[in-house]
Amino acid sequence: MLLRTHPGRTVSSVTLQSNLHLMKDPGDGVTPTEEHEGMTLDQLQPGSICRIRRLSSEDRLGRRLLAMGVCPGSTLRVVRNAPLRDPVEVEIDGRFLSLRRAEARFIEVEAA
Amino acid sequence: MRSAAAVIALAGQPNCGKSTVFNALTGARQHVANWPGVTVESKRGWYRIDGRRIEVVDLPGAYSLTAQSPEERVARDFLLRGNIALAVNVIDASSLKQSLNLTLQLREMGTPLLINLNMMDAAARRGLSINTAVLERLIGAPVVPTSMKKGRGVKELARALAERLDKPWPSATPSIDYGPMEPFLRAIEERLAVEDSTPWTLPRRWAAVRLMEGDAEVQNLIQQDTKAAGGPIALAAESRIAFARQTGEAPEVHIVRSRRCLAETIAAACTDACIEQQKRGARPLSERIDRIVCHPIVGPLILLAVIYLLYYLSIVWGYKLTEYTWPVLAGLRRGVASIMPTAGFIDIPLIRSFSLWLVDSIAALLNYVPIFFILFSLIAVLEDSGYMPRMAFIMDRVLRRFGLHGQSVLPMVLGGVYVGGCAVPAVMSCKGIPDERSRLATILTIPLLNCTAKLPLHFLLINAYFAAHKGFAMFFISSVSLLLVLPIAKLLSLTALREKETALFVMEMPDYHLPTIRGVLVKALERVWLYLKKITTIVAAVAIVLFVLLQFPGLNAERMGVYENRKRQLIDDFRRAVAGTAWGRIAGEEEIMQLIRQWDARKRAGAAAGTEQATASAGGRLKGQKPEVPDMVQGIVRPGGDPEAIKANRALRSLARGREALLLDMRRERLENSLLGHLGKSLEPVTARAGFDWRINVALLSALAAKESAVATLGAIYEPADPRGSLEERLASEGAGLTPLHALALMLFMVFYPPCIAAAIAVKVQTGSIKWMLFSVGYPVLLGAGSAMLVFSVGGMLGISGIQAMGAFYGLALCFVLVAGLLKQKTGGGELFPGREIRTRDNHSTGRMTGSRVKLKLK
Repeated sequence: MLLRTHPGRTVSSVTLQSNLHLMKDPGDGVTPTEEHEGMTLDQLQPGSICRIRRLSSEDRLGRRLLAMGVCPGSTLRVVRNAPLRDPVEVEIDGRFLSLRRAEARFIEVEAA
Repeated sequence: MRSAAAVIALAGQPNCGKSTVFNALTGARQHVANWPGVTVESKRGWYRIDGRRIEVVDLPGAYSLTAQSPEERVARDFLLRGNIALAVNVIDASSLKQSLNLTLQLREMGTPLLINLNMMDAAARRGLSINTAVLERLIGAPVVPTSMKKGRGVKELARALAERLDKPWPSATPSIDYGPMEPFLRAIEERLAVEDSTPWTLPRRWAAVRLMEGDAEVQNLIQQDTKAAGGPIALAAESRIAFARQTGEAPEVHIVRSRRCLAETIAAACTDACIEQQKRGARPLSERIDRIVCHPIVGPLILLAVIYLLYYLSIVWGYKLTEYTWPVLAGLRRGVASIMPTAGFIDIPLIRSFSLWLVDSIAALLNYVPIFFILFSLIAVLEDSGYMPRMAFIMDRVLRRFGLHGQSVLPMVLGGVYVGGCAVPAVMSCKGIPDERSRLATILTIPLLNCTAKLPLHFLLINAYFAAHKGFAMFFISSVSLLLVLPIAKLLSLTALREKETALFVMEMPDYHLPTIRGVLVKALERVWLYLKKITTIVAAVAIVLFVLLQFPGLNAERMGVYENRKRQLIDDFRRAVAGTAWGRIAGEEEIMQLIRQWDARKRAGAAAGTEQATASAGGRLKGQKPEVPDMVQGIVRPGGDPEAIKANRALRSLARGREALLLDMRRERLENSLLGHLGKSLEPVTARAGFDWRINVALLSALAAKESAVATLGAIYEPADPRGSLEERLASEGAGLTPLHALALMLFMVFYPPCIAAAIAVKVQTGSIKWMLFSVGYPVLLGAGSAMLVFSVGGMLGISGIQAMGAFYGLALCFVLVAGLLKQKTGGGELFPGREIRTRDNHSTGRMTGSRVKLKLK
């Protein structure tokens, strides 16, 4: 069975199922952030260096980073904020990426 | 001739120099189109080696083959089903490890592969040396090193490609070791083999890995390709859960990690290890540049300067350049005019007026070519240098609030954020915006900006009705369009575009590169050519329709009789005036027409040449060109000192003027009578609320093809009581019956005027849909009519003056901007779980408050 969430983007029920058990049911109000009392990428200041703690394929940025070959454990450096503080430029794996804070808040990080 | 045209595909990650490789291989033998169904550019070309033709397809840049973005989907589909003989993986040698992510996926797909290790020079500059022999062995595919920017290795690559096509590479595919996942993969592979009842197109191992990843597209493919769908897919679903239980890691993460491990091993094995460390300090130059370019204060200033320069060079200089190219187009028109049947005194052959109309319509578009060329070249410079992503980085936060994108800056500037732009190149430059919703919002709102063709009407009305407050009126009209674009873009993205796909804002900030002249020119020419090809046919079609609407049904016999009488009167007057002179002998109508044509030609030459002196030489040229013209024609056109000739000259002048007035009257009456005129009249009950009478309606309708026509039509309609009076004076005089409030309503309607044909076509090209094109034409009309009615009716009711209404409208627009900027819109993210999203947002706000507590600053 396929769930159509958006035109052109399908997410299989398989993905859902497997991840539902991997991370607690998102319906019960536990967010990954609270669950691990961890920090998320959007909270870091320029110059910070950290390690990616978890990437979820549920979240689009997580999926994207996975596709780019980034996986949990990769080191990440916050390079700079944009003049208006958002987006934020980070260096992962020698690649310089600019991310929106709203999207970066789904990436959990821990001290390197 | 073994294979007449082998197809090879270029695959690579963004910014790997793939386009340079493509251009170097194919040269000018290429064409650009869109992949079916998506607005992703497809480039194909070919080259010949040893008499053999090799087709090259340039796939869109993709980090991976997971089919998450349209680019990746296109690339993967083509690799799977494009029936290609060879895939060439272009790799940026200076970031080998990251690039192998794609290479290993290509390897897994089982397509014959060749590695082009590009940018060897950049890698060398960073102190990296790569042992290609080792890489060849580890990857299991031939490796060709090149430095395409410097033109090094082109021939070698072309030859290696041809050789690789002939002899299969010993395929010792180093498959990625997925460790604990291997048993699951083997089980799925076996199940796939059992299901193999139809000709199998997917490499089994690749399909198994994708199924373990939970790839929905591959599930679809398998359901299409096999009859019994349940088997492997259901097994993969179970395996995913079992694997996660067993290892505590999501299968998709494990797959990426395994691939990454192999990539690291390979990269480490073939790169000099001690030099690898130097890479830590890589990109010193780009980093230093960014410290200035993305600086909180200097950065935006540089951005402003770049935008201004771009606008100035392309729009201002471009228009200047058209002064040189226009004569060429005018020459074309004259050429057409000369082969068409000549015009009579009042009856102009239909074929003549039609051909000239068509030529004019197309020439109006060709006129933009110099502007486009400059513009596309400059955009190519921005793209190739790497500044584009920085622009988006700086502006994204502001524009996102209005449903736009950081990369909407450039199109908006080109469209005319302040005074004068052009919607056509602006819409064309929206191509790079990756987010579909904001791309459409940008494309649809750009035509509302101040395109240069709107300005003549604005200037005319400001001079006629707001002469006392010219400064404010100019400021109003230059800036109000931007104030309207922002809230409208937001409104569109909340309504009509709500369902559109939004993309993540993951934008690579590539190293700065010095653009090459060749690369820039190729890009610019390619885009100009694409524009011309698409546009000319459609423009011709629309021009024909408009011609019919403007010309028919024409004048009836009775009215023609009236004009015939006026014509005879004019001719009789002329004959009487020249009677008794040497020109008295000229009696036949055809001879008189010849005189008139000669007169007009001289006038045109004079107008073109400008000065009196030039007129003389132009006259001389005419004489030289047409020796058969009787001397007496020359005599009357250039009378010299002969009193008789002067008398005849005067008579001819009044005859020619009389004819012009007569033709103008006929044109006006034909316009009134035309289908468009009737349409204008029938719209009057509605448009009266905005203060538009049928005459304004006709002027506005006739501007559909090109907005410049509005002023010309107004000029034709508001008859010159005193021909020397300017159109401003005529409009402002009592007779026109218009007030400043009318003028404001008209100006606002012009602000919202739908895109011209060329811009509408550009919208069609960029959105790939006629529906959006019609929408882009339709919604501004409604908004324009609404605003005009609002201003005219409410303003009239309150009894405020035009300038007061202008101020009030400006205030209203400002309010809309504020409201739209404050409205929240969900941008996506984890929209699978709306509940989670909201909760994380709360969490986010607390997180921000405690942000200083969790500072991770280790440096």
